[in-house]
Amino acid sequence: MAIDFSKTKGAGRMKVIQKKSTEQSNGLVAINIPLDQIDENPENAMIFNMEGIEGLAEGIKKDGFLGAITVFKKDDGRFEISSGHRRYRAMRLLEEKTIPAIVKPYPKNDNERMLQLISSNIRNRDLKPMDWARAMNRYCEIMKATGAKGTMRDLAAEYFQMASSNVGRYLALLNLIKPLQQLADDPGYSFSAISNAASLSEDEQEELYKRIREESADGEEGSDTHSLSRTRIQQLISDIKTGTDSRGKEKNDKVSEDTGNSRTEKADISDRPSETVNKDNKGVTSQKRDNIELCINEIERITAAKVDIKHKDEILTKVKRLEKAIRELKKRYK
Amino acid sequence: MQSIAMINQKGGVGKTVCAVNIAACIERDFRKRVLIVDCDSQCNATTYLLTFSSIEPEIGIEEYINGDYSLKDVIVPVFEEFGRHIISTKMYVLPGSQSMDSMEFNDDEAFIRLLDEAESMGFDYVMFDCPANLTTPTIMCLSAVENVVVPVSGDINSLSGYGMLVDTVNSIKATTNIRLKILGMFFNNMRLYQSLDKFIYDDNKNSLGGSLFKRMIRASALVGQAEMVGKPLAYYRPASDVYDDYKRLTREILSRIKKGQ
Repeated sequence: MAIDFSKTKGAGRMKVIQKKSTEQSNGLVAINIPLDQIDENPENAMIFNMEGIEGLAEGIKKDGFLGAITVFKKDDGRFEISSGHRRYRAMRLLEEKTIPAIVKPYPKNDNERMLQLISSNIRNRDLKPMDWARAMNRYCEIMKATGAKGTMRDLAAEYFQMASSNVGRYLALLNLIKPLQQLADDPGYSFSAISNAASLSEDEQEELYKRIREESADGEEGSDTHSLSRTRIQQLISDIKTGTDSRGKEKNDKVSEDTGNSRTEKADISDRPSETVNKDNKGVTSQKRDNIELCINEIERITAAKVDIKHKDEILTKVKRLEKAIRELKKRYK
Repeated sequence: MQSIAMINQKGGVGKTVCAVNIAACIERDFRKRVLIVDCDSQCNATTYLLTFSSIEPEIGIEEYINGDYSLKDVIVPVFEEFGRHIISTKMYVLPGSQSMDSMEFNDDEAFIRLLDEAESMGFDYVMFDCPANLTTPTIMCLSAVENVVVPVSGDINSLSGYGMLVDTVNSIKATTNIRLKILGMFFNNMRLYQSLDKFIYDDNKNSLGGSLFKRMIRASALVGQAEMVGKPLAYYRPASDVYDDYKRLTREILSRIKKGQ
């Protein structure tokens, strides 16, 4: 008479062993690896900022180390970090000897390796605009190398989960001179406004930076510097483009009568551009163009804002509607 | 060169027999140079392999660990019968020492030294036969080798032995030997006509993650006969079903080692 083994205590013990075995073979077990056996991915620091390590180290000292990093084993037997560069540096700072790490298999090729690095960074961290820019650029390089189909911008938009135009704005940051890039990273400045400066020549960008510094230096309210609003920056950019100069004017963003433009901070999309006649033919065109640009800036402001992923669909439909409205406007005033 | 340790803390699962048979299979059918290291004070692997040549070694693993001899001075070539001729094989054995359990181990890295010397001598594989229980030689072995293979028979205690080994391997991996890994485990001596063996195999074949080797070794009188006669199964009954099991298992082991590199 055969007994039913599945109901026995021994079968229960087997279940425990099976679970342990599965975890083991799935590599979900974190082991303590000596820090000096671990190398960073050399491209990591080139793309992503490594600031705030001291703060991270403080947090680890207080709350203990949470969350194993992921590494893979290299040919020479050493390990390379796949994700967790900042935690690694923090542990180094704390002069720890080992770090909990999960060992993953070696990525199939260099492109896979870079994609792993990029994806682990963009999903878990608050990145600065330049980080995004460099990551997107690297991603586009990889996509080009692997011969992926579609435009680079669209592919990146899919991967980084944002609008294609936004991707373009980040990528444009890479065409800026260094000082302007630093401004883009400054939380006080709207990076999308600054990215519009990418179409300026290098000399023009230098000039722009100079003007921004001048204006922000003589600040009010007792602070040494104050940031410029996006509209102001937009204005400075168009100044330089058209070779006009609106510096030294009132700080409330109202432009002088010379150019004949009047502008308010909030652009109402249903506003018709003012019919102020301007003697200069060029001025009329630029006025209409600036108005449309203002409308576009509003949309950019909405899409550039960090939105809750749940509302992404709503925003996208709104954006589509707005974009449609812009196209109508453009057609009307061509 | 790759190192393999045959370990299960539970006794009687067939570590020594499998170590010898798999090593001989690698030598005979895969034509590679294999060194078998006998870490068991019972010296069953040494006796098995040296039966045919009737060599009784005077120095062995104890002397090697003490550092008195280099590897090439202590290892012994294995001869086998082929038809009516005696041939030398590509197998060598580092004989065990009966007094090994009570010796003083003053060199923790003896096996790392062993693997270095074996590599420079041109061996392709080094197979360690470890005793049951977590003895010092077994731990020294775990601190040096890369791959651990765990034979398991159709009973709950040998499976627990595997479970205990997982924990041991993880802790040694974390402290002294990062390259250590359990290559996998396989069922040995299985009588599939027996309801318990059948149940255990069926229950485990899909639930152990990637750890289980697909091929199990069936129970066969030929295995015991081969040991009596003093020949590895590869030289005793190479055409048998059970040796075919060994061949396929060995192929799985070697390809898993290659993949992990």
